[in-house]
Amino acid sequence: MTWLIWRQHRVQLLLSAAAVIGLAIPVWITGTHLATTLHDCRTASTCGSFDLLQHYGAIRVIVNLTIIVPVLVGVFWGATIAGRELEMGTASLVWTQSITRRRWVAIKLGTLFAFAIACSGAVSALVTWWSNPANSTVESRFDGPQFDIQNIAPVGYAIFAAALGLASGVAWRRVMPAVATTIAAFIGTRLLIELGVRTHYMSPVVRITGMKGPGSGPPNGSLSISTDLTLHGQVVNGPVRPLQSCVAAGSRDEMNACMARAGYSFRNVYQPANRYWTFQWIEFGIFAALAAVLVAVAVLVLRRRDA
Amino acid sequence: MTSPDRAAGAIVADGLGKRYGAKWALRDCSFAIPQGRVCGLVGANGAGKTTLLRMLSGLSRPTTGRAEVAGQTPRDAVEYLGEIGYLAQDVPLYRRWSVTDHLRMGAHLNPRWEDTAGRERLRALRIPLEQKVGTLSGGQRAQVALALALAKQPHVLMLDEPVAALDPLARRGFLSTLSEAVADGELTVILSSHLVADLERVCDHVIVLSDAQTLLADDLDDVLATHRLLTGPRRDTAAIERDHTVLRIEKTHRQVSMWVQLHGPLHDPNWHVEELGLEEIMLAYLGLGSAAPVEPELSEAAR
Amino acid sequence: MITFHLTAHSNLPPYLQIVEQVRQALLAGVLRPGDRLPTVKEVVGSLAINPNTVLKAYRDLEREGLVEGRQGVGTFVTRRPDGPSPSDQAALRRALATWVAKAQRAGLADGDIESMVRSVLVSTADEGVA
Repeated sequence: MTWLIWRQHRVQLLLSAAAVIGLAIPVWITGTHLATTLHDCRTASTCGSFDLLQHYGAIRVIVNLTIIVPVLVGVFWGATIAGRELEMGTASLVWTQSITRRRWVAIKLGTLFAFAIACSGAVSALVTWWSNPANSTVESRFDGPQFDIQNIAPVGYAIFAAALGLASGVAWRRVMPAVATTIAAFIGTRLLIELGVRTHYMSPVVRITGMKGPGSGPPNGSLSISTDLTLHGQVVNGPVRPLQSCVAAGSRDEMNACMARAGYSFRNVYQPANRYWTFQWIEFGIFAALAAVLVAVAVLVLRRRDA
Repeated sequence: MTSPDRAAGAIVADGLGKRYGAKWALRDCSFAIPQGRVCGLVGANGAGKTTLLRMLSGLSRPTTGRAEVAGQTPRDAVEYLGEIGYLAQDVPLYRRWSVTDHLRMGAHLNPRWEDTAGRERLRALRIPLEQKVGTLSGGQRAQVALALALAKQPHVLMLDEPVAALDPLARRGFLSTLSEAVADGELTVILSSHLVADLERVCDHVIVLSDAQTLLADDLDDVLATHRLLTGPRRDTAAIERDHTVLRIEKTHRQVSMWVQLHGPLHDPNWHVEELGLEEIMLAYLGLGSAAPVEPELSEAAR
Repeated sequence: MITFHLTAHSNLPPYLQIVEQVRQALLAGVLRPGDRLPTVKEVVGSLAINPNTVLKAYRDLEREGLVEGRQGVGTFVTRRPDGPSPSDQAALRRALATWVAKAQRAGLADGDIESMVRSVLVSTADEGVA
């Protein structure tokens, strides 16, 4: 059976390995540079004076593009691993050799998830390592796409995408519709969780700040949910014109102080930076659980339904 | 070697049925094929041939009844799968693999694997063993698939329309290989086909399915010996219908033709009796139930 | 060694075609006592027919005493078949000719006569079986 898996998937395996190595080389080279630059500017205390990532535009695009790695795993591995065998009829060839369907399913699943974890884990490790300098200065690893491409969340996505591909392949018994279903359902689920659910994993922290200019946002490294201007605790909607009396105050600081005295303040709603790992694990857990459900359905269908 | 009970038959079906949703693909199918027989499975498309073979191979579970193949209940177990060879419709193979790859797969997945004879035969047929099977002709692919199935050294071989897509020469070649394998040992074969002339050559047992029902399951010699075409001037056919099974009847005002399964000697010497080939017998069976007996009135209209 | 041929248009079932071909070969002297018949596997492989058909033909020939199967070695010719004596054959032929002439006088065409003969053969065979 090991021979069968190797013979069947060796091209896929080698291409995937080549892709990961192809990504690792530029990431490694630029990442080392980036770390040196950060180290140098820290020694010279000049880090605040320039944009750390200013010369890393292209590689940054590539690093951010690793957000699609889970979909690739779902499409090229998940959707084909059982779907192609069902489509070509070779499933009935293998299932009538002296090997049980149970064992075949188990080994195919093992291969699929070992690959999904290895592939997305390797990419995520590279991206996480590369992003370290940026995390400490410019960007929040808790925010937006950075959360999705670092540490264990992307591994959860890859497991989910693989399971989704497997289940669609088993349901459709054909590769192309399974690929389309995988892409659509993966993007749909990811958007739903990211935009509608993730911020609610824990009740957010609410912080009222004064009328200071740049300091009125949420703290560094946190996941910002909203930043609103309030008047006596009520959110002010629409454009706010500074009070006529405060405009007369002169300097910007004095104007802000004047506004604060009039009852204006900023309200930040956010998830603080120390919850980052909790959120990574919750995100991973949700996608792993969804994957488990899909795998259970796929296995049930494969074992129960006629080939 | 676990040799199945000769008396019970190598392939036995007992009330076997399969339902997909509300539709029965096969109903109450019972027969016993003795060991060493080559059984032809005949029926129109959708009659249930593939369903029956899939249940016998263990790929599909029966809704009702049970089957016994080589002394075991078909199921997803190594002990069972090792006893059978199965060739699905359209001859599925890994198109990008070479013949050798397939043989190696077989060797890895089957404990009782012997492909020396198969390799020799494929070489004798000038089939390139190192070429991707996707580039081989239909006849060559069928030979490769048959070699794979035989190398498992099965006791029972099930073939679903193996020659349907082949030209006459390739068909003859395939059936030669199959017949030689049967001559070699204790192999029992069940194969479905639309090509009755082929079946008449290679088979010695037939099962006729129509509309999910089993119409006939018997040794070919008995089938040929008991089916006759009776023709004669029009008269009362009640006596024949009482003693024998009339499969099909055609009447004009003057003449009656009957395709009959005889259950004993025919006492009335006034009937003109003709032997029937398997093809005509099949047609008589498969025409059953499709329409009411025809009464062609052409000759009368011309009068 | 001889090779067998089957034709779909023959009125004889395949096993009888083989039996007939062996008899013809024996009568013609193509096969002689001591010769080995092709093995079942050889016949089956060249004709793509059921092995039991060949076995049945060989058993028939064995019953007639024309051949003898030796376990693990093959099937060997033992003697020439004896047909009806030439005089008997001539007598039968004369009787048939008389009957055919009578049928023709009654207005039956050649085809009618053939089909009548075949029908009688089939129904006597059935009576014999049953």
